[in-house]
Amino acid sequence: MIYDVIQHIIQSFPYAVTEIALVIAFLVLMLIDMIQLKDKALWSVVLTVAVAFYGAGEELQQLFDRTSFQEVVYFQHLFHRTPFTLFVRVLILLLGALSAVYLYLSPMGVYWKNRGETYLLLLAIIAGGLISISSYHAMPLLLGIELMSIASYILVAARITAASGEAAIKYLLYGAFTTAITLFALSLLYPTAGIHIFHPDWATQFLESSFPFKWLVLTLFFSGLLFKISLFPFHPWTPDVYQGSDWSIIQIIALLPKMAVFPILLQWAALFGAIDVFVGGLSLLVLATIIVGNTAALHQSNVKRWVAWSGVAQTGFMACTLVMTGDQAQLSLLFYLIVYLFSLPAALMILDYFESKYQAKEVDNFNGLGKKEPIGSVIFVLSMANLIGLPPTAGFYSKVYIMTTLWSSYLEQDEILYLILLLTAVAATLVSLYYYLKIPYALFFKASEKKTILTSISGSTVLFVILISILPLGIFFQPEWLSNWLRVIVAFI
Amino acid sequence: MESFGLTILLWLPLLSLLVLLVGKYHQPGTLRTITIVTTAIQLIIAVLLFIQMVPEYFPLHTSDSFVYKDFHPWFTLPLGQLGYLSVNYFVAVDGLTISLLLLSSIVLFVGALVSHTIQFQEKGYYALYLLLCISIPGCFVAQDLFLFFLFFEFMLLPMYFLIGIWGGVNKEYAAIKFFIYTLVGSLLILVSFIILYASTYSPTEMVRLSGHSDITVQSIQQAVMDKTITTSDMVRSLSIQDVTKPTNIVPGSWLDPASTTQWLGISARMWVFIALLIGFIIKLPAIPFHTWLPDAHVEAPTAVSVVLAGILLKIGGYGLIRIVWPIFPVEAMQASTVIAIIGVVSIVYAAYVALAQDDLKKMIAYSSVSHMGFVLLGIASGTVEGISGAVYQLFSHGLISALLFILVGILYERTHDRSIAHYKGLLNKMPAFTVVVTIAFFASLGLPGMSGFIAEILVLIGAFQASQVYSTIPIGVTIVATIGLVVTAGYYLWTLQRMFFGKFSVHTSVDAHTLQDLTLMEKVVTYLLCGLVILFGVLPSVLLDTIGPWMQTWVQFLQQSIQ
Repeated sequence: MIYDVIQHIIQSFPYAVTEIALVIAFLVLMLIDMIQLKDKALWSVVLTVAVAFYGAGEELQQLFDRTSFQEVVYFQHLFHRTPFTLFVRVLILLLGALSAVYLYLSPMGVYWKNRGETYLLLLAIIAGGLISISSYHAMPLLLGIELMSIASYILVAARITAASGEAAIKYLLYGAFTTAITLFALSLLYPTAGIHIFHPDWATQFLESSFPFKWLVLTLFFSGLLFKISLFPFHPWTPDVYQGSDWSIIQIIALLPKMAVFPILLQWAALFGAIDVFVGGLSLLVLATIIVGNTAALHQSNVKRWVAWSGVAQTGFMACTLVMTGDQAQLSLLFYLIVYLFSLPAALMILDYFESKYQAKEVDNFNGLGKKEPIGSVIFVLSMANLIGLPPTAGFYSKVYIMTTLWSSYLEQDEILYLILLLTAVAATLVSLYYYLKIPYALFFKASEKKTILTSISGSTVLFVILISILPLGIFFQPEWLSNWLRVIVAFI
Repeated sequence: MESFGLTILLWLPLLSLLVLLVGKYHQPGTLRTITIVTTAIQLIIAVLLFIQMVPEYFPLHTSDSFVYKDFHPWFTLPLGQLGYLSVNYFVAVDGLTISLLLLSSIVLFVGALVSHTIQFQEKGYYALYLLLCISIPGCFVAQDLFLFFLFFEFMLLPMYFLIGIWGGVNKEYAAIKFFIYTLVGSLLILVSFIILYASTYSPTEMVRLSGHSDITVQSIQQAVMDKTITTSDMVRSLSIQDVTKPTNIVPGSWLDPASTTQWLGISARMWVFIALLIGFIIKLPAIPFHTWLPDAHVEAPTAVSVVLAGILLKIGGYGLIRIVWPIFPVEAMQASTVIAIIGVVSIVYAAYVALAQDDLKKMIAYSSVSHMGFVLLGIASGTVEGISGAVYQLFSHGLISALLFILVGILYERTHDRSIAHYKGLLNKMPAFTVVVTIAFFASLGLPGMSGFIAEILVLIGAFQASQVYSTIPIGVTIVATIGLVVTAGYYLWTLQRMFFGKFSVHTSVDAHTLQDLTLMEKVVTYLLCGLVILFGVLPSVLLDTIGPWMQTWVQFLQQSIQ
């Protein structure tokens, strides 16, 4: 008996090879941090990117292997592997590599790139993402989420300034509170439906179980996940935390958790998608997120708070897909996620650069800078077009996918909720035009203020930004490349 | 290879744009020369295409009715329940397009010639201008609505920047107003296109994509009628050829004429028709969506005003003729009275407002609104004369308004004052200028022998006949339109009287020494346009022979559709 268990565990290790590689890289990075090296930052980045690429390569190899088409459950029913989880793991690893490159190139991030713990914490966040997306059971899911959260708290706090301290304590209090709620909900779920939450039978067990307030309990359980993607009402930490952090940190806490948590929620939505209570409840949250995010983003003058609120609005958009069922909704979410998350760093990098060079922290500080920085400004306009969903960027198809899916769901099920969501989404897109074009407007139309030049633009910043911008532009001209891939992947959810 | 010329015409500015962006040019005027050469080549190609075009009577929006075709598959996007969106790069020319293509090439060339007033950030200006040189002809030749919308948006964005950066005192206000108006318009258009997408299917695309020889258009149509093809398996296309075919409407969809879906007592088809109509009327513009135009014109630099009045407004009219009427012939017929009234109100109201203006440029902007009313009236009439007049008005007004805005620009450049009351007896100081202004004013008020006369007389004839043929326009409405002609003559002649005749004197704020007569360059541009205005006024057959057959097929198409 015990022999079988040990055998099973040993056989499970090949599935966790990426996590093991991450742990090894973590240890090596600690060593590097201890030695006085001349190019410590470069070594750390190279190692982080290398291990992320190694992992992504391993996962891709498994993905292309035909045997991956069936689900594998490993480590004593704690984890599972499907083509979908493999695909998401690849994306998390690639996004992690992108974050590491960003850390190294960030004009404002000199402090971060020379400190070893930045990379350690980044690796921890990546590992947390991998663990949570692969989990089959509530415990590893919670552990993965916590690994991401705790590493993020430390990252936000590590600057040790008054602002970062304030941001970190808000983040920690909010996060710890939602984790506690999630754990409490888990303890209520445990005796009734069990907590093998991704088991195919679990949903039916949950639905058949007769304990009171079960939907409330499920909502409480979700709070920990919704906190990570800052969905209403778990969003108020976002602007404060962003405002207190440097761009290098914002890009990590804005991107990686979304990449990990949205696919998890997607798997849930596939289980509960046809249940009215679930759809109704979640729709209200999504609706509130879109409305709150967009209205709040309208009034921001601080750039970081504006980024935060627009991020909340984007979350609302993506979460629209969670209340629908079917391949098309899942495809829309993945398409949106990939386009959004892989193109956002370009916009953040330009803001980062403007802050370092012109101390542009408020929207007004951008006045007239378009004439001084034409390349950066034009690419910034392009990435804003991508976030709004204007052609010629892939963001256009992201919005088209979500809106057409809402429309066809409405036609199919004749559920007025979808129509309301669709109309709200259209209205929100219109509103978003105003706040996304606020900075481009200041860049090109306002008269410039006199500013001293602090640093000089580095070629690598421009290169990074241009390379990332190729993605939304390229996908615009050939959306089939991405959507055909995703069509295969979503069949396995 | 017959499409070779069209491809060059469309994409040559992209090459120039690269040359312009990559190189470093310190010599003043180099950038302008590049732009002028580019637009000149475009103009030559457009003229050659126009001359080579053989007018033929093929049914509207069929494969044969297009020439210089260039077709490349672009992408097919699966959209779940809504089937597959098939988008192709499809550009071609027909009778309607060729006239507007010719006009846009002329106006863009002239606009490049008068761009010398731009003094700062020239690189940005000419880059945006070259972008317009792609997107404006692109709008006219695109035969796929996806492509059309793309070009359409790419026309609005450079325009927004051109007004907002190189404009006058209130440029921000004007640019934002322009942007908001056109944005609302393009959103209405986009929403309508999406509904159009959801309500039509494309048997030809299905045949093309299936690749089987035993699948034919007929078999697919039969299968759709029998509902053996579900909506999620349909290939849909926004190709103009496909969406304007009544047989391509999916049975039971919103736009199915048999559908009984109603909101507030108005059928879904009518709603979409209204949305599209407003979307294009904002661009045209007509009352009550015209208020962005005077502001945009007053603030825009001369060359931008020329392009704006000369071609951008024409896209509104083009959209109505090409897209709205062929898709919704029945609704257009039902609404023809209302649309004709909107047109006539535009004509008369804008003429009266022009009469009250003191700013010369604002007066001309309102006269544009007034003249565009004739386009609306002509289209609403649904007769061969009416539509020919409408297209002729698009063409002729493009030339005349370009000329007028150049003339205002010439005066403004010298004195930085456009107030009509500040000038008297300019004839004595600037004789050549006065002669050209007189020609332009007379052309605009519709003097026989000038192109404006042909257009307006055709529209009026068409509108008077309308009740017998296709639509229902009361005679009274058309009679009111003629009042507009009188008022137009009034404000032009009065302005001529006040500004140019009599004893020379200027307001104290104007420096009389700056009032030089036309320079050689200005003479070349204005004489060229005067010549064209008179040419198309004396010999309307130059244009009408080439585009006439298309107008007849258009009317035939509408008449067949309503039977």
